[in-house]
Amino acid sequence: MREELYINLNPLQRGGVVPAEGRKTAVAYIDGYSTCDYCPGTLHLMKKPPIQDFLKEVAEFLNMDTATLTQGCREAKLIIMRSLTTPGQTILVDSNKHYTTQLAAELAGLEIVEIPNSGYPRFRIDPDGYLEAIRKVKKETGKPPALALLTHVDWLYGNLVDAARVGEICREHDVPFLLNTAYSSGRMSIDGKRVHADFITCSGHKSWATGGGTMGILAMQSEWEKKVLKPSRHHELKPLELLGCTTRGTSALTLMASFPTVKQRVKIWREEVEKARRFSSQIESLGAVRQLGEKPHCHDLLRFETPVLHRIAQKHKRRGYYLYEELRKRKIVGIKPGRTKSLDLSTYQLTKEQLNYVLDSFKDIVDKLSLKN
Amino acid sequence: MTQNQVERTFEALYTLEDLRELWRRTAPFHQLTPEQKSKADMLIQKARNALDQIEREL
Repeated sequence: MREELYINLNPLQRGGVVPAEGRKTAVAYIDGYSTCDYCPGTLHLMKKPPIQDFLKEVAEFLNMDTATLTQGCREAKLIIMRSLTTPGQTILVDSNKHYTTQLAAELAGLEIVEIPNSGYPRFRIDPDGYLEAIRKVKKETGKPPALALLTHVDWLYGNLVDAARVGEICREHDVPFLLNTAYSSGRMSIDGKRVHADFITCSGHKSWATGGGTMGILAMQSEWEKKVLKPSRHHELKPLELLGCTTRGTSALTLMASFPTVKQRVKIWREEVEKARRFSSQIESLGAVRQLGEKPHCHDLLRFETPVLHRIAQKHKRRGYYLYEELRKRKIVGIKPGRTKSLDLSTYQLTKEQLNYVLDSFKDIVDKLSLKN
Repeated sequence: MTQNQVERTFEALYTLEDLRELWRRTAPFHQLTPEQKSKADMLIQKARNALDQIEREL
């Protein structure tokens, strides 16, 4: 499928669409270890290409003290868990977490205490849930949790949580705070110091306009640098948890080439939110469509329950696959084949004309098939 | 093969990426505004010039 021929609504894809400058870089630096011709011994200190300077800029952009490259956001989370904790310790996570948070904790041998969401239909995470959970862990184990992780914007409902409040609670109780910004940094401004984050993890391919599916950023406050980036006993320039060097090639260079675009686009985040809200209310006006998650919504990731589409599926000869096929005929992709009970989509970086066309297409499908079935 | 030919090869590739960007922004029907049409014309010409130079130097 060529992105140039379709409108792709897949929430996983929108923030990773690479601008022309990034694609040009990918073309030029596709070979093997394309970052490594002038290696000073480790990737994050590289001067040519200027990875070291780029990482300083990224740390500034996130208002953190230092930043380094990782293979992905999930790897960044694992690095923090492994560096700060010992197996058997307890950490806090929100119940809207990405599955990789759980996998990272499992791999690090950690126990998880979840902060529950508010349930259907809003699924909100109350920041004060972290306070209750810290008290609970202290009472049960005699110690505070070893780490608190908050998914800033979750992947299902696109809910944006008040990270500053969670950070404040963690600071008051001396719990290191990891903010997972896979769906926020790179789309919207993040001020790590304002939200009291000890660590910020980012996803290059989800929100920083980078391809390859192997690009993450780990930013931290300086007090943690020695612990997290401690060198190998055998290779003094190689941080152990990074296995020396992480993304040694085209993904890192594409991230750098896309960064000017990312810095500009976070400035118009409000417009993106307005666009998502407008889309949400217009698609709800089809009838029997309901947006789940926070309302008014504060992010471009949207989940809808769609009985109007599911009713058609029950009588349609193609069952649930009709929707995917009807949309594809109209050159719209990104909705999971076979699924009609609910839809996940993102409006990010789509033009007003493209979104109007998507809305008209849904309306057309409902009008046409509700009569037939 | 001269350095110029290699540079013109990249110029053509990069120019086509700019054209590709135009297709992406106007997907799926590519109804170009007058400004977008003239940008497309300019990019095509630029890529063609680069390819002509490569061909002349072969």
